[in-house]
Amino acid sequence: MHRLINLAIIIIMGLAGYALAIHFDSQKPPANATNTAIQAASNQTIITLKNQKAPDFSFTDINGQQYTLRDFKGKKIIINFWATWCAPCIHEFPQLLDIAEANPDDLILIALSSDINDEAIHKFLGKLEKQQDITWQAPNILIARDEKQRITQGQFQTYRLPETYIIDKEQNLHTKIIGANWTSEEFQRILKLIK
Amino acid sequence: MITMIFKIIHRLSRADIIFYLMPPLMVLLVVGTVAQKDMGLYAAQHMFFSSFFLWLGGVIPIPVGYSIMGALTVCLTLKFIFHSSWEWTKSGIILSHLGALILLGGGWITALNAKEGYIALPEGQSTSYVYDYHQRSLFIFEDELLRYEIPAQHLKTGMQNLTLPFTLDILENCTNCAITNAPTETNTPRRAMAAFMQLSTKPSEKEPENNLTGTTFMLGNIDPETDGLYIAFENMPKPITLDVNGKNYKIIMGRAQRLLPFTITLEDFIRTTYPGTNKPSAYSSDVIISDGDQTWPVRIEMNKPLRYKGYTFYQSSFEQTPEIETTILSVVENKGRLFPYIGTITITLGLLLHLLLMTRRRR
Amino acid sequence: MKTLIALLLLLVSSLSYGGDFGLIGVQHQGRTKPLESYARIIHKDITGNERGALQWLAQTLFDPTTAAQEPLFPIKDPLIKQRLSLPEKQKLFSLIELQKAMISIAPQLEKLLSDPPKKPSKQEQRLIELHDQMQELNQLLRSFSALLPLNIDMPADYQDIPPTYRALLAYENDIREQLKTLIREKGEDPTLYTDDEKKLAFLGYSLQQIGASGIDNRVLRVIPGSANPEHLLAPWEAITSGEASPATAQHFKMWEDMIAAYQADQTLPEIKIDAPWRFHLERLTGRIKPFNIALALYALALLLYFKPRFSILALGSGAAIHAIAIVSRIIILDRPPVGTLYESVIFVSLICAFLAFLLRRAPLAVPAGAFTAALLLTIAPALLGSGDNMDMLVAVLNTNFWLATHVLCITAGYGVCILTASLAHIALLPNYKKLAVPIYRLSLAALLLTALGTALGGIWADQSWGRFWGWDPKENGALLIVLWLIWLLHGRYSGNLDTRAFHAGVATLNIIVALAWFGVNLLSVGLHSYGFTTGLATALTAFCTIELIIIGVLWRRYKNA
Repeated sequence: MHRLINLAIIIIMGLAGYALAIHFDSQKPPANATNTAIQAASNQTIITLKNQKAPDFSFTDINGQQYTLRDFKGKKIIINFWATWCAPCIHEFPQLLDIAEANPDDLILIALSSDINDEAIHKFLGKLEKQQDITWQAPNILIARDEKQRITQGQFQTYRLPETYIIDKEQNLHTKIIGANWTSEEFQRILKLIK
Repeated sequence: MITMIFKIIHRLSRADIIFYLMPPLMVLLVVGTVAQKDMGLYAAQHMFFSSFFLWLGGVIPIPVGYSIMGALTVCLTLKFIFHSSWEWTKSGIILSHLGALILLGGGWITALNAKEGYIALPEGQSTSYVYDYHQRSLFIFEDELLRYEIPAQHLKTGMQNLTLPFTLDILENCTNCAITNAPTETNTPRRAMAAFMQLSTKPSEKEPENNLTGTTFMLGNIDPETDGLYIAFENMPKPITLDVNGKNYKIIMGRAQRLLPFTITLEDFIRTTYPGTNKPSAYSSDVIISDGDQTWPVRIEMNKPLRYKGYTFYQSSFEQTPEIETTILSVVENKGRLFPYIGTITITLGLLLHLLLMTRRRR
Repeated sequence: MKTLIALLLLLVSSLSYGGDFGLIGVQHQGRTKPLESYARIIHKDITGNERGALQWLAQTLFDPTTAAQEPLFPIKDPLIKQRLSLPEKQKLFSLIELQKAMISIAPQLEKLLSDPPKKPSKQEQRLIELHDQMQELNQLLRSFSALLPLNIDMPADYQDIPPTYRALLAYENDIREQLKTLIREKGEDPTLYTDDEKKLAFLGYSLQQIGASGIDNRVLRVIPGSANPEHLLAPWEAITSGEASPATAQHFKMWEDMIAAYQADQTLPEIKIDAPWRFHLERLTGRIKPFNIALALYALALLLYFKPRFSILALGSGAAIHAIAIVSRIIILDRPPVGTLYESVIFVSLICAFLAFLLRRAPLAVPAGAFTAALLLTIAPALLGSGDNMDMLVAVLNTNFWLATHVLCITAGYGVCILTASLAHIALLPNYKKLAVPIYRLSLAALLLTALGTALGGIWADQSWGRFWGWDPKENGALLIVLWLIWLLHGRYSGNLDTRAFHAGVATLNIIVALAWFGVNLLSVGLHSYGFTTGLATALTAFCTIELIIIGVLWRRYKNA
């Protein structure tokens, strides 16, 4: 008797293994199909920052007006560290002005220059206006000279120009862009992401 | 007669059979393992494990892998069916023997039935074909449609019996070819790539997947400008193309392919490293499966294969050039793949039960 | 009991010297570890010992000029000394000394490095090693060159600015402009300059030099990156890559304060930081070396053979400390305890000690367990290469589930096999027949663990590579143990093997395990050959020969008895 049972066990085991293998071979899209939402290409030059409050600073723009960063709470802020002697900075500068012009209500552009004196900045801006018909005199564009890189290096640890920070309405650092290797589309997308 | 059979069965199901079968199996295991260092994994496997006999000096048969395993399977089956009366004290032993039997059975199904292959897929590209690791074939296309696929080992020298508007006469095959400069003086005109190179046989590589298979042949009956000697080998930069009777023919030597019932597209190959080093911590491929009108994304990771319609895709390797990353997925079809799982569980339960019962009996 | 706790507390508090400096996180070989571990690893690499490693690192980082002159590199080989024309009697050499000495063999060294011979001689090997270590030390000495105060006279215009590269970088452009004007006006000959102009020229030159030395300096990764704080950057990297952010300022400040403190009184800087508790744990295990304590206790258990109760106590406490040490490795590395050859030996050693403790009533089980455990712990360090003994795993092995099941199961099986084999040796002696029962049961347990482990390995292979069994050397090795055990058990059951033969067979298991465990690493084909160590072949042959002789002698003596 036990022989028949044993034979049956072998046959049942064999069939079960085979049937299970076929059963487990899903014919449908598997439930664990991951959502590989295409992420932003991991661009080394655009860094998303987390949990960092922007340090406050005061500055005097080239028209002699005094401001502090906290004056602009409730608006998105772009801080651009640049200088007239820095070629990539000059390359990206018109693009930044365009972006600021396109968002006059909730965006402030603060361009902090590491130049030695104001004249270099005025000369550059004059040239810019003449050559490319770009205005920098919109009320949301503030251009200032950062004396002795007090803000640029002292507070923001920017050692190589240009660098650009994007700050959200709560004055938290949101994104840092290293260098001028970015496109307007990327920039606009980041701005849209910011609350 | 029947008593005779029962006598044999009884003899074969005794424990000492295992005692006699194990030493040759262990010797085989050691020899087969050590041989891998010189012969390569694949060749040693074939010689010692995946065949019935090893012909020593070409004449003396020595039973290897399949024979010994076969004897083991037979004895184990007979023992299980005829000499396993279920009692508590023996249940652990019987269970573990059943587990071993399932494991062996699964092994047989896999050994005789499973198909292996691979896909090499650059980022952004799609494929429905699985390439064989070892099998090479000669493909003949007519207006981009496959007319013939002749496995390389079936290519015999001489005139081929094909219904084509031209004749194909094979002169020489090489499983692993060396490419050298063509001879300067010949009687027959050398065409296409044969005009400046010729093939000759060299010893097979350690791993046969690295072989370069090729063939040298004559084409005739087309026109005096085209008739002549041709060569075809794997990954030949310019495949042979002919225009005969208004139809276009292509002759290609390459790896055998199998068609998948769906399409797989590589979105992205991801290689992560430990922070601050170049040491990789993981590889994965984001692919998209398209089957009929359905399309869905899947991530294939190391240790996390994709199983679909009887095919299993594993992250096995990758190639990286400055321009593009290519993922290499191995593809397996195996109906016996669940038996090892069932067998393992059964053996474990059996041995645990036996250990427990033995300790209790002692007390 | 209370006194014991008090003693323990005293021990722990006495071990927390050096303040928090050693707890600063540094990223090295893919793992973030406390600075003290890092100091130990590098110091041991260079000098061969760990003594004063942290103090050495502080000096290297904060006072590099002095550090470069400290004798550090041991050179014993008289041939190397001759080749480098170094004084014969001196044992330790400083970086500066070696750099000077190496100039004379620069062309040969360059050839050696660019085109290394297949089988380098001992001297060549040591020279390559020295060169690599010197290069690493050189980088390490410059890690903080951007933060270290410059030892130069500052021109009047820059008197108020901290004399560090980092602070002066803001003025680099001004200085360059000033120098251009200067050269335009007075030419390039510095003798024509005023004192202050000379200082300016020298400052400009220094900045340029330091800036150039910082390029690609990424040895000491201690500054959290702004994108991902888990990813640490070397100080120079933080400055040159643009990955610094306002939060980085406080880290630079912390290091600058430490530099100032160290340069003031040459002692380890006193700082307070919030280190994760696994850093505390790693520092503690680094200091008390629990594996050595366990080893000592196992040795003690052997010595106390004639006092069985104390012997058991020593073995038990050794195993407990051993287990705690392995658990702390799990916590520190955040992965199962067995991933490398070294770790497998340590784990198997624990299994032997633990099992022997369980079987403490069986005759001679305790000394047998203590002996095997101690032996394994002694050979373990020989399987380590240089560098961290807490290494990250190659990608194939980087999966916690299978490491925790297959690998633990198979290594536990090895452990049971080795202890059983040791007991079988004893059972071959006269008057130890009583061991037959535990040996039989243990061999069944060994079969269970090795069979399950091997099968789980197959299942892992099926999950990762799509095949259950591939006749890979490591798989075959594990299978060989299983088959050997099956053969013994069936032979014993069928009566083909008598007690003596069975025990001799079990004793031989030691050889089979050694071959399956280490031997396959010599074949280095297939997916498993992750840890090849030179000299393994000789050691293995010696072990197998000795074992065979011992078993042979025991076999003969048994017959005579």
